Amino acid sequence: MSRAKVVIVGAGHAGTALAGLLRQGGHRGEIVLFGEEHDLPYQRPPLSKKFGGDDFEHALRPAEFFVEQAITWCPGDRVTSLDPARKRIALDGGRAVDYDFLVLATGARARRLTVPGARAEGVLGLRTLGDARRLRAMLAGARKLAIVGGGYIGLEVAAAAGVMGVEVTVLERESRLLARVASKPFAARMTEYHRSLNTTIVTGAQVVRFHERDGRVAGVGLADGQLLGCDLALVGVGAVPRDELAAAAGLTCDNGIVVGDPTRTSDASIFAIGDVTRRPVPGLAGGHRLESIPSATEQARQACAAILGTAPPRPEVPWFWSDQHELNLKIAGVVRPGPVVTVRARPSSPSFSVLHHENNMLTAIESVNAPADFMAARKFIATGQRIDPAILADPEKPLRAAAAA
Amino acid sequence: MDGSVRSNLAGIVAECGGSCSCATCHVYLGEEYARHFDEPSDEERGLLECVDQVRPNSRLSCQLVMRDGNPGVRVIVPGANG
Repeated sequence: MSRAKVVIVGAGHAGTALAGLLRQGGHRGEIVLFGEEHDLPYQRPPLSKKFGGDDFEHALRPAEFFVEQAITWCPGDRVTSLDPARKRIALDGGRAVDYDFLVLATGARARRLTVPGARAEGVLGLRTLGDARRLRAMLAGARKLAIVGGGYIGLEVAAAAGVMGVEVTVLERESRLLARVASKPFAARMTEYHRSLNTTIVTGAQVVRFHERDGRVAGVGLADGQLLGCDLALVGVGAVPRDELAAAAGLTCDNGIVVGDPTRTSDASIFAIGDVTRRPVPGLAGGHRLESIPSATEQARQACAAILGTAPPRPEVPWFWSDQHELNLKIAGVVRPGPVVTVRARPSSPSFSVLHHENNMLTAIESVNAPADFMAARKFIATGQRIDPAILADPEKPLRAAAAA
Repeated sequence: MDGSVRSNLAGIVAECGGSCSCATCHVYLGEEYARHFDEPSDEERGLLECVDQVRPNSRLSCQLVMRDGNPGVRVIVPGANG
């Protein structure tokens, strides 16, 4: 099927990677890449990390790439429906496009709050390049930023905005930061770090409304009656998979497009990759939503192999990274309750790792400024290497020395 | 790294976009070219410590910044980049 026509819906990291990989793999059929946005497909990580400077707009590939690789990139085209029986998609304006293979890489959207005032001017979300440009422009005139949600996006924005001299408050609904995604000792150290940057952190903060003055946000109201004044608010309360097209076409969805084997949907000619998917993860039961670039790249590779009929790539340990001021965070494996947690740190150094292990095998690492720990742990997790737990807590011994004979 | 991504060459994934985070742009740098580039940072050294197929001349190509006066560089891509 090397002449098959592949239509990719969504020009983010996953879709763009797949288009390139298909040509690398020798695919000679037509490749069409639809993206709703008008900008060249862009790097998403800098949007929440570097919006304060002039260095946050990075194209994934230059415009010539798409021409040279004979990839038909269609910016500003919105796909409105899928017809799996006819192998055809419909576009805004009535145009229809046929496919042999369809790949849905529609991503996720920032979850919005539905409380009163949530649509006031100055209540922002952050997902797209347009969002980052808006945040940057509005921060220039802001003094007090309220961030709703103490997850990764919220903390990245807090760190970057704090450096710009803005007074930052993070409002987290749960009893601690990173409640759904990180371990307690990791979250505790990150909380301490952000407080050292003069960020105010309020936990157990249930936002019930945004107060407005002249149509613009002026404060955030909490369930306990507190009112926190601000002139800008950023909502970072997670992302919702954009699975509407798939669901409307009858593909199996469950808060995300369900894929198996490993990126095929319930229709044999349709694949889904990236943040929109609920995907299998080696060693874990059921389907999982992994919102990360490594997952998107891995799935692009998997879909490419399935389309080209080549050997599937080796499964990867899920991982992601985050940058928060002078800290580089890298997390591998899936952090879940159960395994033993060991902290590896030196009192005088900002770098540390939290290691999760069970039956003398690592299941996850959360690391800060500790690339060697991270790389060693990721390898141990991937290979199921037995480790000596006594070495984990000793920062004087390299983590790679923890391999048990 | 940029050159490779632009030309869609296999073997350099560079999924972090060149921020020295992912170690998927690992290359071997010929000794004769090393003097044209900065020494690896602690971050880069740490990532390289446990990368697959590491050698003494391993580098992350996102950290090999071409400057004026650099006559060019030849690198070898290991078989294992992601």
